[in-house]
Amino acid sequence: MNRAADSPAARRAAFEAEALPHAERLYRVALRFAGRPADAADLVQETYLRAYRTFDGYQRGTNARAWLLTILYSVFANRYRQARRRPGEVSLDDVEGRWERELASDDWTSAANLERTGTWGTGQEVEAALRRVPDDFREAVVLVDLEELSYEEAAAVIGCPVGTVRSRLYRGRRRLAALLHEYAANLGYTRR
Amino acid sequence: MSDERDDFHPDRALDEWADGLLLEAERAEVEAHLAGCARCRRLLVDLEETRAALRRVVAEPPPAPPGLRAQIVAALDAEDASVEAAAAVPRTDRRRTRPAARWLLPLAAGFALAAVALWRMTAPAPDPAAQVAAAYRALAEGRLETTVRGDDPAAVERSLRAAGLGFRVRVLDLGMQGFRLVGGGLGTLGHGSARTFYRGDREGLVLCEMFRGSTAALPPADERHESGGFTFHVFRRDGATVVFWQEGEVVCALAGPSGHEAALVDLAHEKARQPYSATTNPNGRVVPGSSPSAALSA
Repeated sequence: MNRAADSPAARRAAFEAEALPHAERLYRVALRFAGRPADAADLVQETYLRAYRTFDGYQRGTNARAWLLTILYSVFANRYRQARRRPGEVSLDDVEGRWERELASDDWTSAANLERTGTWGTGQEVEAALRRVPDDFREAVVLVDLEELSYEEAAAVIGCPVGTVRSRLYRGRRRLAALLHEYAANLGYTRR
Repeated sequence: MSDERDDFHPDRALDEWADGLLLEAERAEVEAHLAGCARCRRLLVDLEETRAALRRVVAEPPPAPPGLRAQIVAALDAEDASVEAAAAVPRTDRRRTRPAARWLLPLAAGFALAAVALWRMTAPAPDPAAQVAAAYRALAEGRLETTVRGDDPAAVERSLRAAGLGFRVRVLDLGMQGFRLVGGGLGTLGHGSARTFYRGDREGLVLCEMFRGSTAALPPADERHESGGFTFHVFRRDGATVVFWQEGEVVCALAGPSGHEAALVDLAHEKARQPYSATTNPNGRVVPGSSPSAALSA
């Protein structure tokens, strides 16, 4: 609903009340999208400025987080995404290939016991693995598995069909599984 | 190989099975396959471990920087101030109907300075490079407010000096480098900054920003160059390249499109060496196509 009649101060107050509580979560999404804390902070600030400028077009009291995430994604996709290639991505096919061979081998050992050791699979290790997943797939994992958006909401944020989200999510989880399996193997928790 | 059935593994369906997305008939099919396929049972275990790992990430999120909200609020303040300033700037189509604009302009500058003061109080570590890059982006997107238009460096200089920023504003003549002055404005860096905008015939816009301060307060640069007694601090921010250097008590910054970094650094070197007397260019016009700008268009 357009509240053009609001005074600037009332508009500002309404915006802060709706949008500001999401700042920390947006920052985390930005960090997982962009990788570097400085980029994440820039991304969040730009997201808020754009949101503020387009606040009159937002239906107040609806899903502010999804609205902000959509803006964040658009800023990220336009400014950062094409500009970067992550060094870790290149060898991912190899990682998946090795994982696939292990799955097919009777030497395979579940990494399930690793959690009990308490030294593997901490948030930081998973975040590090996540950074090595290509952008397209990682974004789907971040939005659905970490931000707990529905497929439909994630599709709206990314601006793609729901089927694409499911497909990217599947591929992202798979790569992550391969990476985590390899992490575990390298730490000696599973037999090779 | 431990696959007792065949070479086909319904990986995608396994993921959807785990998500509870399958219809009963599909579910039965997947479960029948699982019963006979060790490889897919292992895959399922690894995928489930991955989900568990992701749940741990949700449970222990990385911390957000403590000043995050204050930074956003300061950015909103600056935005409000620039909207105020935009409303107050005399435009040709408003002059007749809005005589108040003449005294609103200094008022708007006051708002901008108040926003700076608030920014300085609330933001823990502002990044001047990111701020200049943001201003450059706004300029490139036509969102940056121009308070003075014109191609005469002396006239733009006089106008910016009138804002009383507390340092000697120097409008650089980039004519020899093939850049035409298009105007100037006020920014919020330091205790208030002066901005000038240039356009190359083909190269696009370049922003020059000056404020009282020290390059020693800058965060670590992505790159540094020493030349002719000057140190040039090069930052890459958000699709832009920003080069800072010190001239007396004034910090100068040039911002332009990334990808033309070397040319921008060259331009900064040229600029820093330019004597003050060169700012008075009798006709304000420029000779296009001289050296560093040719590289900018590459």
